[in-house]
Amino acid sequence: MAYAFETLVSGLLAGVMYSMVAIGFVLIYKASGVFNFAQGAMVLFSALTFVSLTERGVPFVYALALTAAAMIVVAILIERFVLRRLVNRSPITLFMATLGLSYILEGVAQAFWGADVHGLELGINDIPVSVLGIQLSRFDLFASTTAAVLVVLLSLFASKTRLGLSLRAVADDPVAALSLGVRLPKIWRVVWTLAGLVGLIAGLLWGARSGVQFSLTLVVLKAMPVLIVGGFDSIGGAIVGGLIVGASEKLAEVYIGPFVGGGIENWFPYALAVGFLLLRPAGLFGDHAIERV
Amino acid sequence: MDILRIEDVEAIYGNAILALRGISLAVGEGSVVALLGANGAGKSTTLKAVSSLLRADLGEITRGKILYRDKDITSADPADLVAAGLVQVLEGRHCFPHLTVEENLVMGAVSRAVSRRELATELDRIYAVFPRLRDRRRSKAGYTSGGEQQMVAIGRALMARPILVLLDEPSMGLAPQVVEEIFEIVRSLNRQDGVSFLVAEQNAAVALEYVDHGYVIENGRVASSGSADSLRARDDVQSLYLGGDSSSAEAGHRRPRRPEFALDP
Amino acid sequence: MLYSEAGQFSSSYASDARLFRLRQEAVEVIVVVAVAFGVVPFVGDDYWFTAILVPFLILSLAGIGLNLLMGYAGQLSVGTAAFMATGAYTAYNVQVRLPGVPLLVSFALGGLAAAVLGAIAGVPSGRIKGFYLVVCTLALQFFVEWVFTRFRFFSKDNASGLVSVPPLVVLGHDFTTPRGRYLLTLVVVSVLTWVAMNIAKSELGRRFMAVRDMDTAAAVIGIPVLRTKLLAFAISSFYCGVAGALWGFVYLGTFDPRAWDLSRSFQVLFIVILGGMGSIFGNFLGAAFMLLLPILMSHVASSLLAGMVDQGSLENYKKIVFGVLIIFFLIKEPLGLAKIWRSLRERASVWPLRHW
Repeated sequence: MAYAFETLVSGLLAGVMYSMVAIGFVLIYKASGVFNFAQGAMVLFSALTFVSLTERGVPFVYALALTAAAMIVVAILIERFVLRRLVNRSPITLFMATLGLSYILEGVAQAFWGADVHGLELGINDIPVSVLGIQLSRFDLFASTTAAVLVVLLSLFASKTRLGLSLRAVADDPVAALSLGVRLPKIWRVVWTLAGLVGLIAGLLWGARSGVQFSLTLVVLKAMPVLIVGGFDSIGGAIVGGLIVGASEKLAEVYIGPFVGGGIENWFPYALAVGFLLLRPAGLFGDHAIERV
Repeated sequence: MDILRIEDVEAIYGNAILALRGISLAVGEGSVVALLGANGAGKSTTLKAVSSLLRADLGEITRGKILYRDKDITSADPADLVAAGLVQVLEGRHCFPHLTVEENLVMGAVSRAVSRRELATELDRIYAVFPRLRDRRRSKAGYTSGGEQQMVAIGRALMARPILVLLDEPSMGLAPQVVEEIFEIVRSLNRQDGVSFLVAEQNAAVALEYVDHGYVIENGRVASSGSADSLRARDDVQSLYLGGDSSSAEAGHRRPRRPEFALDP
Repeated sequence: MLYSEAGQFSSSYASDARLFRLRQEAVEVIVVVAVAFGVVPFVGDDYWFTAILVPFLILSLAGIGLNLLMGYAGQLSVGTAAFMATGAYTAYNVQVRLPGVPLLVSFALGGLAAAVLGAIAGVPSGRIKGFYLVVCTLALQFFVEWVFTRFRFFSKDNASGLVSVPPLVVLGHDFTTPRGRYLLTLVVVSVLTWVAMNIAKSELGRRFMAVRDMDTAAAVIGIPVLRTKLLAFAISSFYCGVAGALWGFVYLGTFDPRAWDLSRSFQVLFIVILGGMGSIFGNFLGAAFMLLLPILMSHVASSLLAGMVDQGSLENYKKIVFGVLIIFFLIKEPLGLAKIWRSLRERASVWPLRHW
């Protein structure tokens, strides 16, 4: 019984990591309606940049600052050369543009920094810590705390700052925002920067856990079920979705996996998500699209 | 001086629908002007052409000039226009439904750099004009009534300290009493603060009570114009209001959403 | 500029529903097909057959399949490779377990199996729309990949799902030579393309487009929306299944589930995007582009920039170029190469004038 509980908790904590990738995605989707397939590439790009800097002897804090600056530059470039030229186009077009973006980011990241696996040291070891009688990974706890702090910061930003208000307004009704003088390109730059920074944090955590390598881009594929369960445009949904997906994935792996030969982590979250969708086509917290003919 | 002059403007939607076929009109400084006409005549399109929001609807101006305070604004950026005092209140209110009433109003001032204290003063000013909003300031705008939403939309525009307000169908979906209330506020804002208004209205009877001058739009063209009194007396305006020839292209309210990959097989 | 388009009108419904609006268009296509069948087999060399023409044709077919779903029926899918895998493995199992079944029939059965899977995959499309549906197709992609890897039944107990196909024999003739592979592929692809063009122009094609444009309105005028969507998924998957069978049998010869991974799905998706959604001809352009561009880049790298670029970096640069091209096309010409081609033709037809 304790084992089941431990599995559950470790699944929850793993789910937190998925949530973080999903949050970056939700930020962009909420504010601009773009399904950003390049989120995974952004995670990889930021992690690789950071790791390559630290490997060359740059101190941790400076490397972090430089990488954050790089993500800001990336967001500005994306807005300037891609988003601005695709204003008012269909969501599918924008999605495919992000597909193209992911290719570019992956190619650039690997062309610059190479395709080897890099280890990433954050100084937090994966030693077990006993909390209320359960064995938990110290790293997982650290990751969860980081995620919690991130969410709190984002919520405060959204609700208390002028810029956050503009973001919420644009997410609600972009044309109305436009009519009041909101400069949409600026909003998109801000949102993509935020998504990039969130991606950086996610990238550091994922990288520390499983090394920084190309397959990091595949975390976006892990984030998809989270987004389905939680809804594409809800940060709270991303958290809850992440927890649900993480927990069920772990539990399925341990309890169902042996019966079907293992390896089901790849698709089980998706099956779960699809099942969810049939009940709630817009996710737990997502907005129902109202069809007007 | 004319605060707004539209000269022979032609506008199309999606390269296919000709919505405006040569509109010319003028709004004198400090006046309230009405754009009358049936559904789909081109009133909304005219307003959006002025405020540069046409592009958001996949439309564009293909001919003509628009002058605001004697400056050519035909291809201006919508944000620049708001900063210059030209604000549109969209048809259907378009409040931010998940934001509170007060947050909606604050968004109105987004184009200005206001300090926190100034913001409080500005909000008080708006609440003085729309006392009902003060009671509802913490409610989510999506849950307020139609009339309150219209007040929010206008109040929001006023937060931008506009010189010219483009009001699109303010009476739509509102009870007659509320419509009167709204128009009374428009009149007092015009008389006391000198704000000019260009109002697009299907409800000609109400509009003509409150405006100085009017233009009747039909099929994307100005069919007739004149002072409010003269328009009120004319027969053809009455028939227009009751539904005369409204066989114009459906350029008005909802454009069919055609996906981009619409190549023939 | 070569001929006048004037004077060709339809005076009956049947003639208006014909495949080619202009007689000259039909002639052009007939000429192309005649050259493909009658000239190319005699002048082409083995490299061209096996490395370029065969994959080009098969990828075009897969593109047609996805295009029927996306461009005509408006349903987004990134699970194309799953259907291709189903077609390939089904055809393989029919061939090795049911002796005596003709090769082409196995291909058809592969297509049918994929069609059934497609119909099942289409069930959620009744309730789910947009990007949520995309993620469902992604789920399918992963699931199918796992099934063919995990269950050795499909690969006759091979440990990693690897299979080798039997020789390609149709009606007693061996088609395993490069020329034979080309001809076999050409026949299958031509027939299916012709069918696809007919579908597009038919009542069913119009229903697809109605559902694509606005399914609520389509339902209101009496089109059975869910059935139409399922049919779109089924037909599209059939095409992808046959393409998969062809890919596995005629092109690869030996394959495992990794031949049908997510990047394969993206490859077909790019073909459809670059070629032009809603255009059958566009798929051929897109496939040609996708196939020839990497080859071109490799040539450029080795000849112009000899030595400066190593293999690994070249892969990265290819990726970057692909990404840039996708975005470029989306910005400049969202209707793809097919539209560019069409615009060129229209320009040519009124040349030396600029426009009417």
